[in-house]
Amino acid sequence: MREFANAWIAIGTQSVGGGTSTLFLIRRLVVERHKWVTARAFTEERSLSQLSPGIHLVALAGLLGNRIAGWRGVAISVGGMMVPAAVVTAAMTAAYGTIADQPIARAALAGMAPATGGMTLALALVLAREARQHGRAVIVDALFVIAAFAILTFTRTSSIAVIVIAALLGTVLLHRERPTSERSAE
Amino acid sequence: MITELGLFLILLKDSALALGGLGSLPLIRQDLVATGLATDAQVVQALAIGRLSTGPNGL
Repeated sequence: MREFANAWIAIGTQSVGGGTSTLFLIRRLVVERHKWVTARAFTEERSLSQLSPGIHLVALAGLLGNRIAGWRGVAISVGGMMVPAAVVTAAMTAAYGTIADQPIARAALAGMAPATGGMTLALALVLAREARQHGRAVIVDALFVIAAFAILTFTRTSSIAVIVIAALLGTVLLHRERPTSERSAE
Repeated sequence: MITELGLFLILLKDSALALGGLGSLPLIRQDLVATGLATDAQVVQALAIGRLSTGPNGL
């Protein structure tokens, strides 16, 4: 069990850059190195975690922990991954607070901010691309993307209202469509 | 001025209502920037620090 905990602490402290690198490290340790679950089981749990609200990787850690060691596994996997990561993030935020007024810190952040914006934009484009369907529905999807972008950029409409309205429109406009996205066709 | 509990509840709500990915970002931005609790620049700074940090960054 100690080896199990160490693996999750390593995931929480050694993956930098967010989602993709964390997911990669989880797979490498849990599937390839320790062989606690099969690649197929990993993929199943990953698919299930996509249905969860909040941070998908936390749900994935919990599902894998449960599969490997039951409820104790859930506590160890989620706690092992998140607690050290939260401590590192809090320490970095505190450190930034003390050097925020230094010219070199301002310069570094001035360089990082546009890069972060670009990375976030790239991730948003990937999400929009993954969500699209094929056939006639792709036109509806494209209109939804453009409308949501315009509403949130140019108006003060609540994000939650946009999501709820999109869900209602989706049930009306797409209820006859078969699920034909690339992901569901796999 | 918002209390620590108020800030916690805002982020809890935004995370619980978002289906992963960048889903929580517009909710967080709206709750923090539109209400004057933070500026857009501060949100971008927080994103940058979050990306530099280890583990899942929640986005």
